[in-house]
Amino acid sequence: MSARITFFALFFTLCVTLMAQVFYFSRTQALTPQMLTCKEAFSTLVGLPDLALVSETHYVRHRSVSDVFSYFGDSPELLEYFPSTFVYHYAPNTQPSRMERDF
Amino acid sequence: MIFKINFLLLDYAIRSLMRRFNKNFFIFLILSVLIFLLASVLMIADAIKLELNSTLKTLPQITLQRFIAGKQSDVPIERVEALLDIEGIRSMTPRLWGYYYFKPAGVNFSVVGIDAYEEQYSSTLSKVVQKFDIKLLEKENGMIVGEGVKKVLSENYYADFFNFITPDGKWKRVQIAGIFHSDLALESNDLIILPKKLAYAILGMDESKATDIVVHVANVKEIPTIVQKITTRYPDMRAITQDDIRISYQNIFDYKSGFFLALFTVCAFAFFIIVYDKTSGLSSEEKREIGILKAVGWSSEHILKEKFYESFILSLSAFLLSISCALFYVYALQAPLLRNIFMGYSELKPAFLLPFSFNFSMVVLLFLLSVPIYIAATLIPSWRTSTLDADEVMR
Repeated sequence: MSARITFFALFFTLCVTLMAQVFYFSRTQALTPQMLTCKEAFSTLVGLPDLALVSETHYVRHRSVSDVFSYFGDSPELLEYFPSTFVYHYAPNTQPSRMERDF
Repeated sequence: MIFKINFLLLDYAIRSLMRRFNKNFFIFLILSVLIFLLASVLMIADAIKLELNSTLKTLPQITLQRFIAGKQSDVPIERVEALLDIEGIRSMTPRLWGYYYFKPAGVNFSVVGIDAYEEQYSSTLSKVVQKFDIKLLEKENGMIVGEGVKKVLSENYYADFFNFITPDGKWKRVQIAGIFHSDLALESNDLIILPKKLAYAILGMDESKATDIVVHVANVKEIPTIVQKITTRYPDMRAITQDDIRISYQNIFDYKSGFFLALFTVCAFAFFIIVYDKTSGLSSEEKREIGILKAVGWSSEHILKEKFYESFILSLSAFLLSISCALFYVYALQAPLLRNIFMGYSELKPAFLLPFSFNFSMVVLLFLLSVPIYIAATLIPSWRTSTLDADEVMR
């Protein structure tokens, strides 16, 4: 009986902690309407896509406006040129200049 | 058949778990770490995706780039006039931007030229910039920089101005007129905004050319037709629509988080195989336990139910604990170490808070990948043993 109670108490505590965290973080760390307005105003002003998480080269900094040939400006044979190209690679745009990609 | 909880069996299962505490705690720990790692990576990716998608609808509907010999090159501004007669186009704006390499710090700044005098810009600027001096921008020798740029410049003793070196080797002294709001660190960290004339001089571009052209259309349904008309008229131009950027944003972390998911799947299956292997070769003590239980009158169903409770308690607790720890690690501690996976190695790292985003489908996916598979990996071998005769097991 006591084992069961301990188990249910632990289980209940875990569930409550989880929900409390979701509630707390959604209140304190979610994007507020003011922040969104600020971001939208900025995006309208600059008009450039992507985030400044990586800035080594242009095909990772503004990858959404990059193309398959962007790599060639830096090095024609090294696709994984920067550590960040492991995460970010050129965008799969519908019009990759005028060459069909098969790779 | 309605599933009813047998509390006595539940008691027995909890005590059974405690009897073999060391072994069960080890399994619990490994399972928790596996789920925690994957949940953290997926949560970071989700938070960054939320940040990206928040500005998607304000991005240009069509961006036109020019390609010569496979390389992107500048677009002649007269093409704006030439294309304006295409029906459906509301406005076209030539845009000037590029990268400036700052050698002492080894970082690239993104330089964007704007028409500083235009009133719509000044009202927007006052919204997004802290400590803003419009007079400096109006005089065409001021710039607005991101927090990261400001930090790098300060480290290199440029407190309130910066000397750009133009491609012809001249110095261009530009005052810092403002710093972007810290809420915009993710978008503006490496950004420098300058009046267009200055930007042309710094980037060394011809004033009759632009980096690309931004097109706004009256009806979004006409975008594909307009793109087709533009590319037919100028086959050297490539159009990137808002939809392309949306697709680009959607798949931005698929590679990375997919890689982690693949790693997790491999690790998880290796773990489950070990669990399966261990439970299928039940120890003589465990076999004897099942034998005694059968001898005192337990049926196979009871034994399976008890084993189900055991594995369910263990895996569900591990799952809940790891999701809870992942939430704390990602949002309270801001994911130290793991967030570096998503950042470059450049000096110009933005200081930003991961915005909260709770993806329910991701949690369900993690649940399905862990709890039912663990239960199956323990139930199947127990079922095999429980179908044997009591005397055969105990012999």
